[in-house]
Amino acid sequence: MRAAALMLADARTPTGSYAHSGGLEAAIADGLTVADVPAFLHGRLRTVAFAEAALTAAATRAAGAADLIALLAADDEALARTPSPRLRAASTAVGRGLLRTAAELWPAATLTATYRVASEATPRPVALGVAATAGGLDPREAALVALHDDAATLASAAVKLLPVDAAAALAWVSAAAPELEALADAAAVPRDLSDLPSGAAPLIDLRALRDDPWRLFAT
Amino acid sequence: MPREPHTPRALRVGIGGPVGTGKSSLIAELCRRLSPAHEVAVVTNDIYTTEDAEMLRAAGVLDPARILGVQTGCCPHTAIRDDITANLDAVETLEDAHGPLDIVFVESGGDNLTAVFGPALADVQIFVLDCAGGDDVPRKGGPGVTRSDLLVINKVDLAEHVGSDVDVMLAGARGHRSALPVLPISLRRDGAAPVAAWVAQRLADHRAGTLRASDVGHGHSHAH
Repeated sequence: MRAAALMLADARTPTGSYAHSGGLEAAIADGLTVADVPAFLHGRLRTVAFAEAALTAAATRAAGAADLIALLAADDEALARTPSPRLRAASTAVGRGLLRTAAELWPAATLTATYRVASEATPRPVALGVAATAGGLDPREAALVALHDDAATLASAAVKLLPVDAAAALAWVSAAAPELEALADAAAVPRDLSDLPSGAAPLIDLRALRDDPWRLFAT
Repeated sequence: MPREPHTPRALRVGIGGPVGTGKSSLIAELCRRLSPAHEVAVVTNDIYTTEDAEMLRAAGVLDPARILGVQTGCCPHTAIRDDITANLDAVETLEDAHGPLDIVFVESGGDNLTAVFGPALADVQIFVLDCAGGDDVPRKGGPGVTRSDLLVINKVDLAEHVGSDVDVMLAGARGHRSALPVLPISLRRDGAAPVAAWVAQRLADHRAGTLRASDVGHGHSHAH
């Protein structure tokens, strides 16, 4: 495990991700309870998080080859998997935050700035792939960071939204660790962009369309 | 999205302080006084996305498109110091859409006495307390009280009604702030002309490249 991977996985690294709940807040509004969170977390990992991790791995590979065209094609793949405008905007914002921080941490990797200028949308998985490459991560490490981030974001939001202790919430992530490892293996398998997985969680997309003025989290 | 640094970019003024001390009302008043002669925009952070933004828009002191609300996921202090990503994005979005701007106010969500802005988000910061919160609050210190560039003590008109002594508050604040300024005001009764004048002077310093921020500046200029 490289130090750069720890930095990208560290919630203290500024990317703006703390303002997101991975759809947990809206799910709670629809009746989800503490006991349901592990299943929700598992559901995200198998679908949207896995799809994002595979995209992250592909973007890491493309960035490693300095293939800007492939990165921009990966942008389109990410957008195609993100139909909700709010989730798209959130993905763009976190992606931009990742690139901003990566440029500061690893200034020698000029592709970070090139991609930031060339990309319209800077979706999170592609930006994470670019940032991971700048930090020297391989595609599997980048995929693992993506998956862990998904689970950890959920756990951290749960602590603020539900009556659950922080250590108990982190134990959900810990229990999912074997799954994170297995999904990272699968996500890192080299594929054509056209063959990337596209697992979806339609309820999360649908709930993100609601305009709830009492939301605490951006997503 | 391509984002080059703006030169010269707007002066960024952070406004922090506990809930209910008058941050939003102060910004409305500053917009009222400063926007006739300056290009102004505002970023608000609140518990629920747009509550403060809506209040400001309703005040009618600024083109509503120049007010953006940012969501901070229960972490108002994180959003202004540890991870300013969302706020910086909002500031840059406003500068791209309405620039060149002279002043961007960034209003923190109401927080405790330790919340201060990071130097990449705010060139200078104003911390707002009020008499109704108790006259021992300034003495308690905390980075907001000790390190803000300007400490405003609002609602001095209420002091006698809530058992607060403005002089005790000023003494408590000065004990922590040596030469840093403290302005006692009553927004409701008198407005905030001295605060507006202070901001206008900081803008002049910013343009002249002589701005000194008190927080982590230690004599280092944050002017770019």
